[in-house]
Amino acid sequence: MSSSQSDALDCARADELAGATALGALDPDESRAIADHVATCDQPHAELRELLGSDALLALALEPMTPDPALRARVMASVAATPQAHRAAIAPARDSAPSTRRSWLDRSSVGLWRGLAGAAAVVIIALGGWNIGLRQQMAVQDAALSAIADIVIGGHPAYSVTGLAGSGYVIDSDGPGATFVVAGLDELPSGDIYELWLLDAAGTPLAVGTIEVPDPGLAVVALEQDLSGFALFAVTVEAERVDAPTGEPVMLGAISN
Amino acid sequence: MTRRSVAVFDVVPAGRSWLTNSDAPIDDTLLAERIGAGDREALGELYDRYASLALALALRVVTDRFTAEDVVHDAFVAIWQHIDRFDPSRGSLRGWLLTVVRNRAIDRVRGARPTMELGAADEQSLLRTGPNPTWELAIARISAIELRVVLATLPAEQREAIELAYFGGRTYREIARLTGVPEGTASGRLRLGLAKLRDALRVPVEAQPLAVPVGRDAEGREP
Repeated sequence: MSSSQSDALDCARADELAGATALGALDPDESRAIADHVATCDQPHAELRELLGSDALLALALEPMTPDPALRARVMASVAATPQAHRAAIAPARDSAPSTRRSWLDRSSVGLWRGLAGAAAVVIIALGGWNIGLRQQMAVQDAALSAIADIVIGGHPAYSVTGLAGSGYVIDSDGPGATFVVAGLDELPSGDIYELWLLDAAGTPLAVGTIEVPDPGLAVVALEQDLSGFALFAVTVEAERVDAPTGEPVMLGAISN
Repeated sequence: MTRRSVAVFDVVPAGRSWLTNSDAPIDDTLLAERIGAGDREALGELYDRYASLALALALRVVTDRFTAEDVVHDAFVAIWQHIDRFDPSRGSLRGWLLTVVRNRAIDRVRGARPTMELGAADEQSLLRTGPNPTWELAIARISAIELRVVLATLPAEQREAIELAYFGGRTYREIARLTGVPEGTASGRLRLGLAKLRDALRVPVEAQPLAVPVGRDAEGREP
């Protein structure tokens, strides 16, 4: 809608567009023009106000659909890593502007998550199909990891953990503790470390270990906590060991027990 | 240009699960307060209550399950991040969530740049001066099947226009082009269709007092 149209919006026009307004079926500037008009007009615009809110009702005509269980864990993990706007405004910055940092599991990680949703099976499995190119690049490495894990763990539950930094497995054990096996981790800038995390279903992270100098071949790390009660495993890059992640994960995997 | 079907408003056979609002919680406002206080478990409860409906809505708009789940994910994270913008005096938390889901789904369909902002949802809610009793009470009392029955009584062209607008994210100008009618006719169909829906829902609401405290809305809030 042009500015001249917007300027010409009057009560009759606002009422005429009541249904379109209620359903958000207006061009953006037309929508703003109506909002401005109603905010300053002394007429009640009763029908327009009455029709607002109908959008929430219409959705109820749909048949609810059960989401993939991994979606909940993904939402909660993102929530755990996302500061609330009103709290970020009053909280002191802990480091480099965390309020502007992108969520762990935003769109750049969506493909990764799709693979992870299928990778939660309690078996040794190949990498998920989240990224064909990356999967091809890592196929040889992953096959080697699988073979090693098969030998080492003797059938213990293992969960695929993947990401741009590499691929590996979190391996459960019969007793306390668990092990993270990873190959091909990128070398980090001097002083930086990989920090390992377990997250519960609410997205609360618990630091469970670090990798300070990644072995170019295979790294095996005993986690400081067993997997019981946790839904996700993640790896972040940190300047030092911290109690809560300060950045996005470079590897991520769903675990279920 | 291909027309979209109106099948979503057709009454489905009995035996499918019903979305009865006797299941709807009455403490969404409290839930919003907990989320605002940084309680992640409260966000999880919100997810448990409405994720299935949010997914149905997103999927209806984007038609792709993966994209729909992305939309639902983004919507819940956005609600968490911007819960301070929720104003219970302007509507229910569920209504706000569904508005956010729908807006994001439509953004995906239109190829709009993804954003965590809530501008569109806020803009629409700014028009409201309080929870609309007709819709809020209807939401609280009728089942999905009953709603579909009411929707099925609308004239086909009005129902189609509403569907194109709500689930298709079409403006009334686009609806006019899609259906080959003047813009005034398209906007009129939306208005008349919603007005008939309002009237159809209003009658039983007034005839049968609801089990909510006088002076409070269906979610137990003061108006």
